[in-house]
Amino acid sequence: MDRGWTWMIVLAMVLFMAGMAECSEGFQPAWQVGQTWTVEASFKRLADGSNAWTPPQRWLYEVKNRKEIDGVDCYVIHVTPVDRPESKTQAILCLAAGDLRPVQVIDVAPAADGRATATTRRFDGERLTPLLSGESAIPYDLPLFPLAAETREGEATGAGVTGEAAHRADGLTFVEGVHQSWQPSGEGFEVTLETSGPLGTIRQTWEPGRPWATRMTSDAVRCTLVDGQ
Amino acid sequence: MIRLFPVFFARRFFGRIFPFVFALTLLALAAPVLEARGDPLRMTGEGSDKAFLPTKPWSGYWWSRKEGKLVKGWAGNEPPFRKYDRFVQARTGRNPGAHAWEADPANGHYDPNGPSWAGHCNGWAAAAVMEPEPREPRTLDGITFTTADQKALLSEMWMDCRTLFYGRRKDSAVPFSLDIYPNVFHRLLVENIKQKKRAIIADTSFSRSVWNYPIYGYETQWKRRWWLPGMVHVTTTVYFADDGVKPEFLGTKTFTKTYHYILQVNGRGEIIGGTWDPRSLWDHPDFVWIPIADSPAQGGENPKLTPSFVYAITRGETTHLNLAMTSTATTPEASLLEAGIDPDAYFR
Repeated sequence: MDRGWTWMIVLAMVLFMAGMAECSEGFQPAWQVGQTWTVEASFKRLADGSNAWTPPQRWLYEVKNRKEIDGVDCYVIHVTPVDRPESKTQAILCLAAGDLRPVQVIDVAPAADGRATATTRRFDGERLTPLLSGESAIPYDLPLFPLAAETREGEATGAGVTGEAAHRADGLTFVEGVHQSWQPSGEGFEVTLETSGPLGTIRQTWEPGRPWATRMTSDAVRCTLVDGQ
Repeated sequence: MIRLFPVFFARRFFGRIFPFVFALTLLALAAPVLEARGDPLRMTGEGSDKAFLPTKPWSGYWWSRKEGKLVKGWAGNEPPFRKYDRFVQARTGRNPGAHAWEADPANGHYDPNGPSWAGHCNGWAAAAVMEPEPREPRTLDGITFTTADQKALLSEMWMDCRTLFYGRRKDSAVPFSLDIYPNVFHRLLVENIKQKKRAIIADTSFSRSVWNYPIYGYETQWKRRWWLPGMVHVTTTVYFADDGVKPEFLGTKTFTKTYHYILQVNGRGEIIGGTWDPRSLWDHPDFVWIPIADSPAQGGENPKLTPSFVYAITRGETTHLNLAMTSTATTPEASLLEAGIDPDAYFR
């Protein structure tokens, strides 16, 4: 082959790789140990059909640590109720530092006898699993990150991905698809997570420079980021 | 025909066709086993499973808003909230006004012109799941609370509670909707009734009206057919506690409903979806919910009712341990330790 052609092919491959590298950078919030933010949440009363909302409850999120959990470099986030510091309801979220996927989540809540009880969930690293709050009283749902790849022109693109939420019960494995889609909105993104969990279809607004979704709504819950840069 | 018979079984012909017949027979026998290889469902061919809670939720009247028994009383029984007001007044010197609130049509709990199905079924269902059944009358400060009175107070107190909600409530007149998916329904049965020993509640009405009943058991049967790979035909009979009883009823009146559905299973034996069978397409649960803890009145229950007084009546207790946010004063880290979690393993 002519040497000129060889160099042309190599140059084209280099440019392609560079373009791919640029495209692979998407949006995800950046956290630092010690950072805090507050989310206000209220739930809809669905069982009686009144569609009324519960009084808002504030939750404090604190990035307590960055350490290896289950062999993965993780951010460790502690979520506690703001208005009731003595409450036993809280959560520890261990999220992979690279892409914020859940590695281990601990939910603590008082049992009927008043004692605190913990439920630990460990996530299969081979599944594409968004963080869904499920049975937790704290709506800490997170989409799959990064949210979008930028084109070479720097424009964000809307796209979708289907993740999985796996539940094991009595030797059975139930896998429910979680379809995630997102669209650029201003400088941020509007994300939709279609789940079959208690919160149903979740819509979140993510903005650059903010540590958590500035707004989250579903048939069952509505949340607002009230404090946190 | 008679001449053809020996030809068919001629050695040469039989020798040719036998390998194909043998291969097909082998495939038919092996397919279900191969398909179910590594299948944690253990749904090889056909099988069954069942689970029941050790204690059934109790039956109680659903306190119709149209009839207004909570406000007007019944058959010589003084309205429960009037008794409650007298009891609290005896303890505190102040009438809390629970009866007046309940009787005010503006609050929606007594609605003589409302729909015939509206009532306190969600409050009864949650109380029946979360509270022991009141089985003895209790006399406090000279006021006797019958078991019906106690069930009425508990049903009201659990109108607002923290719940987990699955499916979509049908609010329109459109006859067809998917509501809760059968794979989610099956998971909730196994996860809660069998594994967590916890009752769940279902709205059994496919229409706009809501009829909440606690589920305390199920019996399920499944069948796989080798020519339909990845499909499991399931028939599940669900056991419910009923609220079609008189206020004085004690124990559990039950009824059952049988649902048919098809679960989709992938090559790894994981249940990945499901559809309602035509036999249950028009008769399946609308939604399922699980009460987790009581919560303060949030608009759906009588705010003049104080849980500590209700428990003083029903249990002789003065504290209310079931409130989601109530606990002894402690720090979050102390709560983690109490739950068996070492904070240092995560925070330091």
